[in-house]
Amino acid sequence: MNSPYSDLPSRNFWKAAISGQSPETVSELWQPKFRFCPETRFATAGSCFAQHIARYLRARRATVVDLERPPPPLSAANALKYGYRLYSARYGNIYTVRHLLQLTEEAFGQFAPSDAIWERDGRFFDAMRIGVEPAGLPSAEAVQRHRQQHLANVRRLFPRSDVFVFTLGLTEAWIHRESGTVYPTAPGTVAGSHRPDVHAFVNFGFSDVYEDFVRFRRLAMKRNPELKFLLTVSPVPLAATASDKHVLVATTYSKAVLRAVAGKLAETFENVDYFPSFDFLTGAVTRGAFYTEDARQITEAGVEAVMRLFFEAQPALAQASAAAVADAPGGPAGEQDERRAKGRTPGDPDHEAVCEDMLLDAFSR
Amino acid sequence: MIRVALLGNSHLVNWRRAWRTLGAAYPDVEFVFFAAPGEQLRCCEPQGDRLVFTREDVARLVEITSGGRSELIPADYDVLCLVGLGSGVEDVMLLYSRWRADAHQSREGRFRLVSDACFQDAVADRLNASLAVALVGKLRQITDKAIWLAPVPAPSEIILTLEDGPANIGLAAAAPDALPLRAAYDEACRRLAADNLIVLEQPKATLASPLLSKDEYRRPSKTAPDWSHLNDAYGRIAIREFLARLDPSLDGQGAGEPSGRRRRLAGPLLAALWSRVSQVSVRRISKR
Repeated sequence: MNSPYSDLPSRNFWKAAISGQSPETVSELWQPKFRFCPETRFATAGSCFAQHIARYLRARRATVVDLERPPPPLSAANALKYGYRLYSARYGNIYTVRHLLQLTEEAFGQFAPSDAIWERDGRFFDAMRIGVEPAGLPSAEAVQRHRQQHLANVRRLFPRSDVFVFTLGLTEAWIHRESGTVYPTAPGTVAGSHRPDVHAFVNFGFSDVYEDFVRFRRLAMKRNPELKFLLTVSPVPLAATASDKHVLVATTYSKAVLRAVAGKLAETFENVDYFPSFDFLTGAVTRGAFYTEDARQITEAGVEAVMRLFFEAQPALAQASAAAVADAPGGPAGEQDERRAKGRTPGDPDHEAVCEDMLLDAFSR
Repeated sequence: MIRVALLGNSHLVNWRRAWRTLGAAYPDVEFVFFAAPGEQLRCCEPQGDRLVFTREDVARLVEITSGGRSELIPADYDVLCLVGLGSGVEDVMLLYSRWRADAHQSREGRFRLVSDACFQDAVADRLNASLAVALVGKLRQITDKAIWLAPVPAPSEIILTLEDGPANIGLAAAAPDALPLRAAYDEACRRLAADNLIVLEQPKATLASPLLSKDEYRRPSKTAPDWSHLNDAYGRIAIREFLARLDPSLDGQGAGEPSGRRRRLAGPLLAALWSRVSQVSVRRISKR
C-alpha cells in the first residue's frame, strides 16, 4: 500500500522527531537555504533575542559585522551600557518591522521621524534608540549629531554584509499619529511624555508586517543585490500589552502573526530563510524548560540548545576558526592600532628592551 | 623608620636616581625598589603573604633592583607605592585622537563622536585596565595597607616640536580641549581612589600645560628625544610631594638640591662631604 507519507524522512513524523526526544536529541530542525562559511559576514538586528545569536556567532568566530565599535578602552559592561556590541550598528532593539523599515528609509534620506527627541530632567534622548545613552545628551542638537553619525553607519551596513539576521519581536507599538513614526518604546516610559492627541497605540497585522518587510528588503537589496535575509521570531513574550486582551492572549496573537509572516517571506523569496528557534523554544518538546521562573526570559541553556541546532545545520560555520579575529569582543584591535600609531606598544620587545636598559643603568650603580 | 616598597617600570627610574641624592635628607625613610620594564610586572601573583614574580627574568630584574629580594612581602613595609605602570594621562590623549565627546570643541582630524558620559567611562576603564590597578588588585589580596599610586607623568612638551613625534598625542596637547581632557583624567583618578588607595597628582610645578610636562624635566637622551620619561629633577619633586603627603612631619627640605639651603650655608667643602655621606647612605639602604 502506498501513501504520500511513506517516503518522507523521520523528521516529518511527530512520533519519531519529537515523542520520546529530549531537547538535546532533537535534530534536523532546520533545513537551511544557504550554506554559511566562516567568511560569511553577518549583520544582526531585531529584538533582544537577536543579541544572543550575535553573541554565539562571535563566540564561534563567525564574521559578525560591527560598524559602530566602542572606544577601545571601554569595558565590556560599559560597552553594553551604551548600546555597543549588541548589534551591527548602535540602533538598540528594533522590535517591529515597521521600525526597521523606517530606520532604513531614514538612513537613505527617504523618511524623517517626527517627535524623535524626547526630554527628561533637562537631558535629551533619541526616541528611536532610547537605551543607548542612559543619561541622555546635553541638547537636542547633540542628539541630532549622534543620530547622523549612527545613520551613516546604517548606510554602510548593507554593502558590507552577506546575511542580514533579523529577529521579529513585536506587533504592538506606539506611533506618532500624524506622521506614522513608530517608536521602540512608549512615550513617557523612559523619557518624553505620552500625549493621547499626538501618540497612538497600534497593533500591526499580518499584511502590515509582511508588506513592511518586503519594502525593507527591496531597499536593502538596492544597496546590495546579493544580500540574504535570515529571520527568527523572538520567543520572549510581551512584558505588557496595550490592547484590551490578556497579556498571554495578546502574546499568542503577536507571535502567531510574526511567525506566519516569517514563514510566508521564506516561502516567497529565494533569499529569505527562517531559522525556527521560536518553534523549538516555545514548542512542546522543551516543556517550558528553557524559560526562567517568570516564564518570560530564555535561559542560557535554552540559547545554547537552539544555537546547537543552528550550527548543526551549518557545519562549515561550526568548524570556523580564527577567521574573524578582528571582530572579537572587546575591540582590542582598535586599541592596538592606537598603540601602533603611537609608535610604541607596551608589549613591544624593542620598547621593553629600551626600558630595561634604563632600569639596569639606574639600579646598577 | 618608615619603610616604603616602590613598584614600577621605567618611570620609577627617575625616583631611584633622585633618591640617591635625596635619601640622605630623609634618614627615617627607607625606599626599596621593585622594578621591571613595560608591563613585565604583570607576571606576578599573590602567594600566602607575599607577591611572587612568576617569570624568571622578571624575578631576576626585581632582585637586582630591590637589592636581592626575590619576592615582595607587604608586612615588611609600612607603605606600598606604585609608580608609572601604564596609568598616565597619555592614554586620554590617544583616546582623543580618535574619539570626541560632546563637550570637546575641536573637530580637527578623523574621529567618532561619543557622549561625555561614555568618554568619561572610557577614560576610567582605561585606567582600571592599567598594570598599576592590576597590581593594586593583587596586593589587596594579601594586604590592607595603604597603597599609593604615582601615575605616569604627562609627556614632555617637546613633542610639539618634533617632526616625527607622536601626532596623535600632539593633537590633543595642542587642542582647545586640553583642559576637559585633563579634567576627565583627574575624574578617573578620583573614581579610582579609595580609602586605602591614594592617587598622587603630578606636581603642578612640573606641568607646562594641562597635558604636558615642562621640557626641563625631560629625561636626557643621546638619541631621539625621550618625550615619555622624565628626569631626576622631576623625581626629586615627586618624591618630596609624596613624602610630604605621607607624613607632613618629614623634613627633607633642601637635601639633594644643588641650590639647597645646607650647601649655601656650609660652602663647597661641606657640600662635598654631604654628597659623599649621601652616596654611602644610599648604598647602605640598597643592600638591605
